[in-house]
Amino acid sequence: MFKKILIANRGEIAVRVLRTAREMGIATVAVYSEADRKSPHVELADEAIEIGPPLPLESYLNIEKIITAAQRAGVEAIHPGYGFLSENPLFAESCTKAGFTFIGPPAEAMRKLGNKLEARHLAISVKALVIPGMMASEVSPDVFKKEAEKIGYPVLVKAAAGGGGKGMRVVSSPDDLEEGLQAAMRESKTAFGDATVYLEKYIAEPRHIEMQILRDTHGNAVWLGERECSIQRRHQKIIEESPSPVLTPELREEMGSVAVAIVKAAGYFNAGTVEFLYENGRFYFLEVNARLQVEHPVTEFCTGLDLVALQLEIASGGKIPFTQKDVNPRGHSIECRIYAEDAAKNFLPSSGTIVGLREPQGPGVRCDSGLREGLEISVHYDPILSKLVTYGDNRAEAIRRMQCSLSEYVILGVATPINLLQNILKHHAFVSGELSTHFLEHHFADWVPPVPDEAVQEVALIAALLAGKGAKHSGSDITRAQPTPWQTIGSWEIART
Amino acid sequence: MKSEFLIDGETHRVSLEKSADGFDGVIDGIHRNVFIEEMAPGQFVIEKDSRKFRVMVRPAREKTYIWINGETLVLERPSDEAAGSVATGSDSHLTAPMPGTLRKLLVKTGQNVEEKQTVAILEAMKMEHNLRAPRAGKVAEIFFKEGDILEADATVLDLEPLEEDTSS
Repeated sequence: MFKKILIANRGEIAVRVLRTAREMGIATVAVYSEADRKSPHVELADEAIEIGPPLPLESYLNIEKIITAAQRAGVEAIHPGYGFLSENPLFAESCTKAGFTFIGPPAEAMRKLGNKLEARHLAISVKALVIPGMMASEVSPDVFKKEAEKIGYPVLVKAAAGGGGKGMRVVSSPDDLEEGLQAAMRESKTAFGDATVYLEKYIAEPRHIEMQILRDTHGNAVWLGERECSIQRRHQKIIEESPSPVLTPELREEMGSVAVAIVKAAGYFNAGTVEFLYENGRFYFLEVNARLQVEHPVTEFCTGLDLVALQLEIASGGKIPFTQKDVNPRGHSIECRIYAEDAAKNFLPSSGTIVGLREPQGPGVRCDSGLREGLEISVHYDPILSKLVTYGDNRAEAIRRMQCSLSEYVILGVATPINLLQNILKHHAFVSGELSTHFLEHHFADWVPPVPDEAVQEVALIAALLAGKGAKHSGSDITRAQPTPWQTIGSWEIART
Repeated sequence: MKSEFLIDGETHRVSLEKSADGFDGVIDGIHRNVFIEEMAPGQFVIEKDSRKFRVMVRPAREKTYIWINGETLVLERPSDEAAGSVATGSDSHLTAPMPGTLRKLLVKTGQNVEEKQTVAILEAMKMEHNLRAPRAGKVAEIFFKEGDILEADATVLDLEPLEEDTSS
């Protein structure tokens, strides 16, 4: 096993990876941009190296700087986390060339699967169903137009190098095709450095179901069960759960086998996720995420495994320490992603300082977070703040735990969707498991945060007075308060978040 | 020791005074006996009408952030000009709804635009957002160039009425 690794990421995932590394007795090296000097991942790591300005291209996306940091720290391996360079084959190659083990799949497999067009060909070769659409990239607007007509509107413009919903646009009429193509190309260019896009049939009411796999270099491959991630906004997941309320044991088995066949065909090793769209009892191959997923904790809860530990085991040349028949997921787990964004304002990113924080805990509750009070949430990075995950014997229990945990979660200073998530978790369609990737459009399109009742508003006014006073006096003065400071407070208005 | 507060545009008068067995809060002329316990700096348990409220409150610049029993509220100080300018000024200025980088400017000064026409593209947290004209008009002035980093609520450009409108 490795003695020292570098974590080429930031935020909650860097914290999550270094926790497991520490448990395993592996020393950790964090890298950080100027904007992240005071981030928890920097504070928690054994060593931390500054790698440049806040802009990702000059720090977290800069291969050279990360390799240099790894050399300086003398690590054996590099964990890429998710996002940033995690699915960049050039980065994996650069690590290998410089003598570091890349904790993830080989560059060659990433290339095959990271390009969605190639992945489609690969899936067909193992007889997986794929979504009808283009099988090759194009540049000519006329060809796109013809292809779109052949597929039938609405079509989905997708970045061949895409992931995480970036570089993706739904186009419902020929008039909007050009704008959709341009926007997807620009977004893809910025996010992935590659503007290649293609078209697929836009499936109307799919569920997003994905399969976690592991494969070692000793000929062992297993699937660890599915995660349903249908609750999305802007093609990005916000709630994930395992198992899916809709998958039968037969379909699960079939999906697991198809997923393993795809990664084997791609020459893939380490942990990975094969994503599918599910509709009317059939599942279509979507893509492979060649990395640890944001939502991996729900699988960890149901299987009792630590996926990061297994990643490290496989990367260091070890074997998967169990076989397929040992994998018996039990119970139910749900994850809510807590983003810095305003759910009432079309999920616009929200930046600012975390001025108040209290994270939920309790039996069956896990909060993977990269937060602390005083932390600046900048506009430069993905707005994910934390992942709140609950576990229960069954779905109803996991939901109840999530409801309680959300109502305990205090994040002050930036907008979060906690309020919306609370509403979703209570919604009859969610509770009964009637999900689709359009769940939010169907049930929460005109959602506005519920107005706090009169008593809460009154208490808020009193609390504002106390806080205004607290700025001038120590807390112990409260009980012998003098009225004078409140005369200077002035008038306030309440805005909902 | 009275203060005025606005909640959804409505003014509320609030005061708080030590009473014999707690605090006497007067909200819109109605007396409320409240009990206040400060558990930690900025963390209170407030009891009102036998209902218990767990509170965390944090003043930050012009805002005060408050969490009460699972709900989050933001109290703001109304600025003097806010009442007037929001109502009349909002459709002649195009403002950035969030902080970000101005990725593309699609119009020039003097150009006529239609209502809802995409005039600029703002990028934040790796996502693109189309900024659309709040109404038809002529671009009077543009305050930023491509690549500039914008603060939330920064005015990107000003629109003036179309010439046909002013002549009629």
